[in-house]
Amino acid sequence: MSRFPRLERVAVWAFALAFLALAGTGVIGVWLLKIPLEGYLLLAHVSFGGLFTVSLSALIVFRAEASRFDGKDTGKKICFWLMTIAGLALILSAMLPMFPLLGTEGQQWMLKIHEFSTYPALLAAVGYGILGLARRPSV
Amino acid sequence: MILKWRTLFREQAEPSLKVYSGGVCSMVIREVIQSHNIKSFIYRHSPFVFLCCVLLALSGWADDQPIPVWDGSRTTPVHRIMLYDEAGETIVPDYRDSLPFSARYTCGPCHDYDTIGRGLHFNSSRPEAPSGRRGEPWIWVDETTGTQLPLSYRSWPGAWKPEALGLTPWKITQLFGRHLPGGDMSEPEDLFADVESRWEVSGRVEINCLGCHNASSLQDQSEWAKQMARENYRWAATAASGLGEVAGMASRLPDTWLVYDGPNPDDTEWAFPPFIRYDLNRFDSKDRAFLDLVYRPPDDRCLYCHSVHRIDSHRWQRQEDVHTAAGIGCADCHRNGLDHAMIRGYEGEARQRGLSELEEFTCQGCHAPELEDEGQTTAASDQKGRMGAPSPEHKGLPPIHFEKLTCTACHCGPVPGETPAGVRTSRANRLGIHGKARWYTDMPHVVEPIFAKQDNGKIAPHRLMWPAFWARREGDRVTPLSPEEVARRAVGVFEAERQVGDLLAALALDPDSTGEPVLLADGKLYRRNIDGEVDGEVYDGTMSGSLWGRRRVDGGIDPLTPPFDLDEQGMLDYEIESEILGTLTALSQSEVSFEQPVMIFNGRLYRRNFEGFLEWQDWAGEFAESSVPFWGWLSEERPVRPLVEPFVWASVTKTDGIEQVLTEGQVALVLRSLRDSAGEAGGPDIDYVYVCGGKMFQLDDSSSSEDSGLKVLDHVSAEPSIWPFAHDVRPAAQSLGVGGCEDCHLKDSPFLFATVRGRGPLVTQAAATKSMHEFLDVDAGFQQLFARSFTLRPLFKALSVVAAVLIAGVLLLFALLGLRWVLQWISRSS
Repeated sequence: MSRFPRLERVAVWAFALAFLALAGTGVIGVWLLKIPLEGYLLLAHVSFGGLFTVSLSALIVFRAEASRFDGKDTGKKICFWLMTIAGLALILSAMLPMFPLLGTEGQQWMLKIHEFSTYPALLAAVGYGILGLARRPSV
Repeated sequence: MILKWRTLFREQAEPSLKVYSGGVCSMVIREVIQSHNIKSFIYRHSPFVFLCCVLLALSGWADDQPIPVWDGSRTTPVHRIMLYDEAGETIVPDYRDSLPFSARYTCGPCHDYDTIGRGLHFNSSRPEAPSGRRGEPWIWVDETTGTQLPLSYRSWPGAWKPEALGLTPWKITQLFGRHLPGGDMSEPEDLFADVESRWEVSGRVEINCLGCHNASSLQDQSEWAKQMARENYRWAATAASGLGEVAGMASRLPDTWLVYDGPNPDDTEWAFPPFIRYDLNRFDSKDRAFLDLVYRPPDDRCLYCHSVHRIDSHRWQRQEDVHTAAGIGCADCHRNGLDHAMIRGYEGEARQRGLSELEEFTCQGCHAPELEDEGQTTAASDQKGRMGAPSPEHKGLPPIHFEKLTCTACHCGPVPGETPAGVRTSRANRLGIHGKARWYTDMPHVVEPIFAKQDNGKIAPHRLMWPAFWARREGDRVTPLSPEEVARRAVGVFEAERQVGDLLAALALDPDSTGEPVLLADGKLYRRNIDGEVDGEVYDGTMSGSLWGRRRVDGGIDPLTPPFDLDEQGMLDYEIESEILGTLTALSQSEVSFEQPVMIFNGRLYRRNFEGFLEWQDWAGEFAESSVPFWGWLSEERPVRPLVEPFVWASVTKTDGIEQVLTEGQVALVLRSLRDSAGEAGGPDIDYVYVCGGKMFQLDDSSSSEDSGLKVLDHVSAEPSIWPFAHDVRPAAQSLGVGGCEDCHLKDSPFLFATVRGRGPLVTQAAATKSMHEFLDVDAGFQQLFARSFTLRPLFKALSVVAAVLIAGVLLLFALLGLRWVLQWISRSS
């Protein structure tokens, strides 16, 4: 636990909520149900994206030091750093198109990066969650 | 006869046996008709008659000259050619009875006429011709009856098919010939399909090749419009080209007249047939005419039919299309081959026509081939920068916009305002007809831009017109009535201003009166204008109320007869008597009513008797208590009725100075007249209606109020007619979005929420009002919410930047720590 356990707990729950919402709108909606990401779905996805950004950066600050590789919980730490890298890619690929920097080709590349960054992010988040739960001592 | 024979064998561009035989035989036939004596003719001209028969026999086996194909030279041949008339006969310009030239026989030998006749401009009436994306319909306008009805032979939503309304090709040509290119419905194969047509008299309207391809500054499309208005159809192209002068009016000729009949020697003033005097300076010694033709029509030729002008701006304020400013002409993009299947340039045209090369001529084709629709053959992917087209980067614009919007949505037409702007178009408002024949109209009312989804689901800017028409309604089915039929069945209801004008004209006939007759009503002074109607001007004098009067030189108004008293014997003053008698005499000459004019004042009714003297009788009926002399008509239905009915009064005062021409009271009267003339009682299932301003107006039989007695309904036939447009293209610096996302994504943005009000010829508060989002077919609630999210966007961006920097910093730090561990491991190992 970090110096601010309550804040960290809030960040964890916020991240979980945001992740589920983003997965629901972006992954399940678009991939599985073939619903285009537009309208209220897009609005929800973008809104939870803000929550995701803030909660992820807070979590990284709180848990980076504890996620140094020291031979213990290696799998969980790998998932953490994978989530960090993928999360950064997701944030950058969503944020940069909002500025008048990238033309059409660049925008399309950002969309592709955003799409493909979800795979490692999903794996990492699920892996981190499972490994984290498996490591909890049973009561 | 011999002279004509010689001229037939003069040097020709494309000698053809069929042309020769046709020419000889037409000469023979004409001479027979004019000689009126067949036996005598055959005796005198037997060699020529024999030759005619031989040629006719041989022409059946004669091969036509092959039509030349383009050899690859990029120069335009000099067209110094013989002209031929509709019989295939060579035109001798100094021959007194020359016919106008025929495009079919003059241009046809080199440029296959029938192939051209299947082109975009000439195929609307062909059932097999594809309709393509909807375009501007023809609009049948009649200002008297308040009609503006969109028509099209093509299957475009929002336009009525002419044949469904009983409009024959002859009628269509009469209505729209001013802006028709010729051919199509105006060149029917069967001249007698319609009993009311006069194709034999006027001639067919052949394709007006010179209307597009004549580069000479003598090409005058106003002249074309004038000749078409006179029904001089076979002469119109020749007159417009400047090759000759055409006089006479086919519209005045009897139905039985034929072009070979020549003039009627008994009528040289009124009904003299059209004739042409060729400009001999345009012909060389061999009677060949020089035609200054070009392959690509100059823009001026296109703009005669395709001009659009914003009503509230001056000509000098107009901003040119960026393509025009860059030197690109209309025909540089809207190209075609001999088939004249012109490229329209809209997205999806290549797919519809099955010609992938047409993709090169869309916006994307030149500017951004990478944005072409998925699934399209990107034949033009290496054609970027065509004709020097700049390649836009669209920095910061999410690609979803290219899926939802056409290029024209952001780059074309006027910048959207709170309400769409009124425009005039050539074909709708009769623009481009200059001189005394100037003929443009305010109706129909067309507005732009309206952003709406096209058939392919993409949002594009459109022009919009609310239809207005009288119709018979049976259940949900509505059948428009022709303006002529409505005017015939509702006599005396329309042309309210003309009724007032006629009365003022009649009052001016009083020789003993001084001053200009005027009508004072509702603070405005109405004077008769040159068109026989009235113009109103603000009155700031001392007179009040409403009255008929005369305007003095100093601007003051005197009533026709001021209030007066009788003398002690109960007699009128002589001057007053003369005044009353003069006014009654003048009114009796008015065409407004055939009833007897009377004046009522102080319990007496005054009228003019058969001997021309003034007589009076005691009167206790209507208007007896009037404090001022009352002028009216002695009526059988009512004892006395006013000079003009209240609805005329209301129409004049309510419609003066505005574009509307009808009041709700007039509409109710007309609908009642239509019912009565049809002998129908009307009802919820079968009745007569007036559609205007997005609403349907029907008589409300249950209405007991003093209002119009109309009920207002919604109906699909009242929906506006819209068609996409793509010019003028604005510079990139003026495109939507150049100022950021808020150009469109704003809670009250004109792009999404501009107000579109129903407009039409009717003065009414009940017209439809729509918001732009209804045309866009988008959820207003979502758009409002999405627009509001943009207020938080700067905060969102800032947080994202901070988070990204933070995460990147952490990653960098631990990456460096990781690198340090690696370096330590290496140094320990070594």
